[in-house]
Amino acid sequence: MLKVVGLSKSFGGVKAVQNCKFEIERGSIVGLIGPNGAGKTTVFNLITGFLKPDRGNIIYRRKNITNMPPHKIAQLGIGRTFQIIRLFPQLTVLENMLLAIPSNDSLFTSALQFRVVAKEQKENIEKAMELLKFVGLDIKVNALAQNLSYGQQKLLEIARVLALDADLLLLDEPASGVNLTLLKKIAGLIKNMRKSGKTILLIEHNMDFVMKICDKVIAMDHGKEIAYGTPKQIQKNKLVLDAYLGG
Amino acid sequence: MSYFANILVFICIYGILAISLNLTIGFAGIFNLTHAAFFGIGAYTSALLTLTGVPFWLSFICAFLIAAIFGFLISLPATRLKGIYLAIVTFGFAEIIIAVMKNWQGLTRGPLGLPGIPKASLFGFKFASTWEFFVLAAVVLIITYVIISKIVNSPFGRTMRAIRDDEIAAKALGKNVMKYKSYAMLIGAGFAGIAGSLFAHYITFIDPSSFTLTELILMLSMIVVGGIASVPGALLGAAILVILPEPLRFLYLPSSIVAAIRQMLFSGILIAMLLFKPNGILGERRLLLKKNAKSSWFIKKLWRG
Repeated sequence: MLKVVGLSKSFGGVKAVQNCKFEIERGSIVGLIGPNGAGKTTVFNLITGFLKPDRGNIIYRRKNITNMPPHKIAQLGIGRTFQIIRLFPQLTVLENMLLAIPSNDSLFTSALQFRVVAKEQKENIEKAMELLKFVGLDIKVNALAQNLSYGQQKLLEIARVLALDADLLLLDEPASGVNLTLLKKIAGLIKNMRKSGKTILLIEHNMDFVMKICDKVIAMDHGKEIAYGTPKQIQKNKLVLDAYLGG
Repeated sequence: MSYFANILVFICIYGILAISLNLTIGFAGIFNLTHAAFFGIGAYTSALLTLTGVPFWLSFICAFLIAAIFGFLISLPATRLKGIYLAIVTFGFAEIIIAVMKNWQGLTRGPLGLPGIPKASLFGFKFASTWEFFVLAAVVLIITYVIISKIVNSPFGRTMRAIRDDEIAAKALGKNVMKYKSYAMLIGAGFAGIAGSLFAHYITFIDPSSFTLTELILMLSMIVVGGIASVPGALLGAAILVILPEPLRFLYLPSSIVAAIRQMLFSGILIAMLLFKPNGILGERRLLLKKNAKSSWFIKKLWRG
């Protein structure tokens, strides 16, 4: 589904990502792990077009998406969440959701064709409500995103990326800073996403979480991919242990 | 009585300017300091065309189009910047436009200005008296108000506000940020252009000094007083700032002193509003719900971009 070949990116003298390559199969949950500064988020930014790679190619569904602008990549069906939550703070929960649902918001159609827009809007609200119910935020529909608690904001960001109707979801630390109950809930949500046909690539530092829900794990260190395999293989891999514990 | 009509006409013209400025600053979050220059482009376009014999309605439409085109062109470099950098670039453009008005003497007669602009007329009817002109200005104001309200409440407007809140998140949701920002600038500039056309055909004389920084600060004060990201707020702000300095006329002071007092009055109001009610009287209702807002979103936006 997604294939990354020889991806490299440096910031000045810092080689953030070096010759990174991996492939993600449709319908799998893949974990991307590594110590802080290993280049995981940079890989996300490269895939989603927020950064341009120095070298290498990113192939999504046999289409080369390297150097495409971020909004085009999102429209092709790659959704992402951010390490630091990025909601629209002064918009309501519902508005945040409606923004993600692909709809006609061009100036002339949305300002002039009232009836068509109203009908589409109604359908979209129903869809948004369904997803909000799915994550348990349906009671907060009209609250401003900035007034939600941290956990609720995390859930809203997940619900919003689901609303995008993307096939490949890139989740950057979906379980950071949440309590155990919410952690389980998020793990459940991610498994449900796969059931509904989504492919997921996630960055996470919580190893229990990664080992429990991922089919495959990619380990990175100093911008290089150091291991790839099932969670069990990764747990025993010497290079990974060295990277985390310092060998 | 035409004294009151005169005030009302100015409320209409400044209402259109404040509403359209609020579209770019309040809703789209583009700190646009070129607005007064768009107002000038509209005024000069309309005045020059009518002086060569083009009917008022056509030059009125051209004022919209030409200003909108300039708005779009300026948005191309400007929307790639943020915060204080964006403010400087848009301000620079405004100064360039004023400099052209002052120095392209073959076209604009420079600082001498353009006298004898015909009064507005439509299908043979001449809006000669102040009250008649007020009716025309009010109709244009209502049209502007309705169109911009429709835009900001539509899905397009929602995307615009989302981009204002977080550009990166908007991109990640597949929104072409540049496109929305350019449209916001284009529409904002276009409406400033028609305000300029009304102004030119009402005063019947224009010169570059009517479109400088002082005017821009007046427009900014209107949306700060009335309310950031609020269409009725912008109109209210325009009304307040047009009416407020009027009593000064009856103090029979020398005009140089009155002008200075006016400026001080506007600055004083601006400072007082930013200190005590930073989102304005009718500022986006939901922004006011934030209880622990120490400094205004508006001020933060300006500095952080």
